[in-house]
Amino acid sequence: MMELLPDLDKNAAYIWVCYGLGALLVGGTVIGVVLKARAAKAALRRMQTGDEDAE
Amino acid sequence: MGMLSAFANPHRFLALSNWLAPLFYGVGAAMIAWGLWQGLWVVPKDDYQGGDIMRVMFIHVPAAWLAMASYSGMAAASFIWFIWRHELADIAAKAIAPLGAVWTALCLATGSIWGKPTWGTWWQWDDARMMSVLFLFFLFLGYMALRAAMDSRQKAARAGAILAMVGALNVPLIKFSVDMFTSLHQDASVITVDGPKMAAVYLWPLMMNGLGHMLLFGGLVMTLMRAEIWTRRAARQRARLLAGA
Amino acid sequence: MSPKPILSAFRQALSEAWAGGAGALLPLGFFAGAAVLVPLGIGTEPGMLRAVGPGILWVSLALSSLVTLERIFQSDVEDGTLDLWLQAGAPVSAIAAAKTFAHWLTAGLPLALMSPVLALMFQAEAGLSLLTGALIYGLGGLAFFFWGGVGAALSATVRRGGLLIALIALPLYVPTAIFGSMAMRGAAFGDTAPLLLAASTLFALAAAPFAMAAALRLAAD
Repeated sequence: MMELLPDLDKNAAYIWVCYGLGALLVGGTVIGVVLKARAAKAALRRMQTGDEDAE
Repeated sequence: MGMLSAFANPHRFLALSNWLAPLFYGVGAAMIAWGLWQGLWVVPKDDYQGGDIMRVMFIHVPAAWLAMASYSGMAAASFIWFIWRHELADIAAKAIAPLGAVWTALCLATGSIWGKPTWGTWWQWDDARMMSVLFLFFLFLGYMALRAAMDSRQKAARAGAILAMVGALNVPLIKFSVDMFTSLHQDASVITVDGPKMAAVYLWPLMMNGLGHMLLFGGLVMTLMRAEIWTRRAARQRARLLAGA
Repeated sequence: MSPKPILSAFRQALSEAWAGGAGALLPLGFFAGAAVLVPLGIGTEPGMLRAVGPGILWVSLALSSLVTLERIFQSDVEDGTLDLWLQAGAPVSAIAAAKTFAHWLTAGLPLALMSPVLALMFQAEAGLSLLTGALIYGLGGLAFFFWGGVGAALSATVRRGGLLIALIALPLYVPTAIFGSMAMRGAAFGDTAPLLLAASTLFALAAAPFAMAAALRLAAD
């Protein structure tokens, strides 16, 4: 399994922290944004169907 | 002209972004994946630049590019809204801010972590680029805080536009003043008068990473704009119900 | 277009800022804080104080501006003075500039004038550089107050907007802080730094009032 990872020199820890941060921030943002859009669409749909129910 | 109306007309925008955003996500992710594979596994390390640590550039430099490009985008969108009052332009500016803040924070964090083994310090006060990007981060935060503090959407749009434009006027001044300081930072090795100074073997993965991040960012902006359009529609619906029913 | 609204706004701001002598306390307070507390805090070694002194005074100037700015427009929004100005027929940008200038006169200029004394306490060499230093602090403080004024105008409707003002103002203060400290260091950067400081301050004086006016109109709505 360790052969899959590149063989980095003494600063490996710094490099992995950077890319880990990147994965976390970028990935987290993508997930957060997509979820926010879904929630907004669902809320709008609820609003619209609620309107029809009222009529 | 039909394409351009997607930027003024929310319906057209929703139709366009419906397929364009996922496309951007897909292509962007693929480019980043290729670029990372190249950058971390394939390209040789450069002992002159400090060994493997320079591989951090494949995430740090794209983040820096996005920090600056996204601020310009936010300022341009604010200006367009200020002159033509297209609601979509305001929605775009509002969407860019938090995303720009994230990539700016990523740039600062990766830059700081890169700096520690390279220069021995987590932060360098008279480093030109570090300082410029730090203030860019404050500009994004200030923009978001100001919009959030306003009572109404209209006021938030107006206040945000004023701040974004004042900030935009000052960004060249900030960069110029900060550049006048001595800088530990690497001299520009990608965009110089003589063309890229960087060797092709590093330049290609860097460009792929950069473009990939930009496409991903673009997709995220579109998705946030869609969310905002739906939220505003729901709010208008609610207002109509309360007023009419 | 009569200058009367501008002059009266100026006079009103001046009297508010100086209210019952309390206005004088602010710059003196920052001056005393810098002169007395900093050496107590960081030590009295002369070489270090000489290096640190100019920066301390820039910080004092910046803080002095941020503290006064919070009040500069908020009361006008609340008591309706702002609406009066909007109807007054004089350009709102000129009124905003006059108010900001008045606050600089009471909180910024005194610090600049006292800077030679502070510089001496921070082991600076006595000489002409003390006077040029005062001029540099004067120019820099002016820019701080005008950019800060933009932040204050934008935050005029926000309750306890001090933090927001600081967040908005900080990036805008940077060029002045940099050119100003370069100008203080003098020899290393030649003659360009004071000119750049003057240029960036003039830019602030020219641009900030319009932004303040736009923000104040927004606050009045």
